[in-house]
Amino acid sequence: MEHMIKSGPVFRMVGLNHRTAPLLVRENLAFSEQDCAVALRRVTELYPQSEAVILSTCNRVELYVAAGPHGPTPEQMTAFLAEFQHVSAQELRSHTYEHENRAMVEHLFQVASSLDSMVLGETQILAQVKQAYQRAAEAKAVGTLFHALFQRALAAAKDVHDRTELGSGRTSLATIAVALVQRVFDQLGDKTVLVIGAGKISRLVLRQLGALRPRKILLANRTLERMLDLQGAGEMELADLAHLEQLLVKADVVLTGTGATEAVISVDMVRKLLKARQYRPMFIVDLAVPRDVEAGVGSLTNIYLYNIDDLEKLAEENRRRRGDQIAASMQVIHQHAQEFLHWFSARNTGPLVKQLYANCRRISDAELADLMATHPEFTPEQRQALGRTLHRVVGKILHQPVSFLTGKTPSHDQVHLAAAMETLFGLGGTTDGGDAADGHAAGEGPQSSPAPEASSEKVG
Amino acid sequence: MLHDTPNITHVEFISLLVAGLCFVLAFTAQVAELRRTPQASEAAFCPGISKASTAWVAGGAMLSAAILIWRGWRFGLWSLPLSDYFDAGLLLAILLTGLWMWFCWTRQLKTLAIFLLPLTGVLILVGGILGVAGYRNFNTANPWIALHIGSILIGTVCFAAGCVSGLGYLLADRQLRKKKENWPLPSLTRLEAFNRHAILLGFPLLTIAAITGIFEALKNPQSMGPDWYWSPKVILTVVAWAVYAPLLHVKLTPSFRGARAAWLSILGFALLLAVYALAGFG
Repeated sequence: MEHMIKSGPVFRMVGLNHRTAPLLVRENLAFSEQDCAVALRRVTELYPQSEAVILSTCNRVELYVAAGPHGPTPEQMTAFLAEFQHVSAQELRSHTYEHENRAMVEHLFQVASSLDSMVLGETQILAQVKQAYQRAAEAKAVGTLFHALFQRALAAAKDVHDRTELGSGRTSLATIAVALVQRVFDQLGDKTVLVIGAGKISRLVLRQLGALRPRKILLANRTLERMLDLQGAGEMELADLAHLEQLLVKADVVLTGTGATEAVISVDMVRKLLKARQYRPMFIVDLAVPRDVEAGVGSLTNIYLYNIDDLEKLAEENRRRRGDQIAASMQVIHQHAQEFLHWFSARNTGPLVKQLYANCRRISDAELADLMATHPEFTPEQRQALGRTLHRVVGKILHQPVSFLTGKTPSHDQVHLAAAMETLFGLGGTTDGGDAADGHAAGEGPQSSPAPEASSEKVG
Repeated sequence: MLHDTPNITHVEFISLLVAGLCFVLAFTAQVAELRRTPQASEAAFCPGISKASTAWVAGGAMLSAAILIWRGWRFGLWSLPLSDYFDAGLLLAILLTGLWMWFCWTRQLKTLAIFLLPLTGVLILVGGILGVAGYRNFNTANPWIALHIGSILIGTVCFAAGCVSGLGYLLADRQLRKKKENWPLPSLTRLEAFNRHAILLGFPLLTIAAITGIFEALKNPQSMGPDWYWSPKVILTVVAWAVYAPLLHVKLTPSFRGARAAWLSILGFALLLAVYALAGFG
């Protein structure tokens, strides 16, 4: 850990989201499950003794790193993302943001708690953060620090949902999508829902739509396994994607969420089907990134198309309505961030403080020994009294800086203080705190510290 | 310049103007209420009808009823008078208030009530102005004319319902396409179904009104002149009939649904208003 202290910032992230980057940029930078594993391995190869997690969702792509002495700078992280996904690093920089240390910890907690989501209060992001963390753990890109940090992020998110009203009402893309369907169709009892692709969001939307009891759910997907996996959601009929046009003639609601790189539903295809459909209204929810449906489809007669970016407008209204919950949620997040940083600081500075005391006592003991050697007339009681006095003096001198370093002093960055102390007192080289990539004993994470009593109280 | 006609006094006309103003004020109060309602909250789907709006509508309807009762008493009738456009305007206002109340009590259609208010205001004012400017005795003692007028009045209420549902549809369609939710409105399918039902009721009444009107014109050629079939009133009525006709046959004319049906129901109602105006001044 010593080398990490000297290197300055420990936690660092670079990323972009739905607010900083348009859909096209996000599409180009999106990481598939396989991409993530490869990229994480490459990060840890390029920057040994570092930990990394990639969070890639429809709305954001973020690279989190706990950096060792030769950890990547934000520029290097951006360049890495750009190179990996074959996009222009210069263009990417105009859309990215970066955070370090406390700011990064708080950002991650906000992301996990959905405070940074398109739909404030949604819970889907929590599962996505967990998945990103598990994926990184499987790729062996996560060590003690990120184990502790991400577990704390998940705990913070759950706490935010439990202790505030942030999660009330419509919270996820799925519920917003279903509400939109209800703005077109009064009831689904005589309607057919076509689901193309079996993505997670599609499944969530389908579950909600199932409650409205549609007449029929047609499920078209390329892989049978995934289709069967979905069948628990309600009455369904398996359909062949090869007959997509016939399926679109029957469908009233279409949910698409495939991983296709090109549009599955084109303007020409739908225009050709309008007459066969008897101009019945059709509501299409395109939940895929990249998009499954050409944008022009939405301007055809009686066809309504919403994609991920379109949902953002409604999400913004949601955000505005729940704005008064943000402050209360931020309180919870600050509390968790503070606890995590305190744990991290204690973990980080414990050996340093120990070494500082040991050095000072060694000096005072050496001085005391010299003094005793030159004054043999001192009685044993006097020698003991002198020894105690010297130890007290050392303790009192070190009390203030050590308290600052280890105490709950949110206005100070303990990492920087520790680095300064190492330099001023000539410490280093003998600490045994370990580093980011090393494994550590279980129970050392932030969860091991007792939760404050206020944690169970409702906030706001 | 306002003159007392043999059948309409100054006081009655001014009272009618006040009644019309009540509906306009009810509309403004309702708009204010809708703006105040949180836009996308769970409850916003069914915005509250403000007390002010309800009071203005009640005021307008009661004043209209009072004028009709007063006129009936003045003419020595034991029933509501239906002697000319003035009375027809007042009666329409009362009937449309009934429709407004039904909208208000129907949770899913409550937002449509707002569109009905300016329409009611316009109809009552048009009736009053036509009554004063071009007084025509309806001669409701003639059963054919009574049927003609009755069909027109009830048909107008049906077509007004179709018109407001069309307006609602267009607004809901626009909101969906613009990806906004400024006004909480019923679903498109509900609006379309309501629109179709309203026209389904109104269309036979319009047909009856047209047939009885033609019958009366043939029976009394002097009432509308020798070339009555080329008169703008008749032509516009036929056009309005032709506009509404395809809306009843969605299966045969599927392209006439959705926004097109909404536009046609608004156009049809505008044509009917033009027919009334031409009939009044003609």
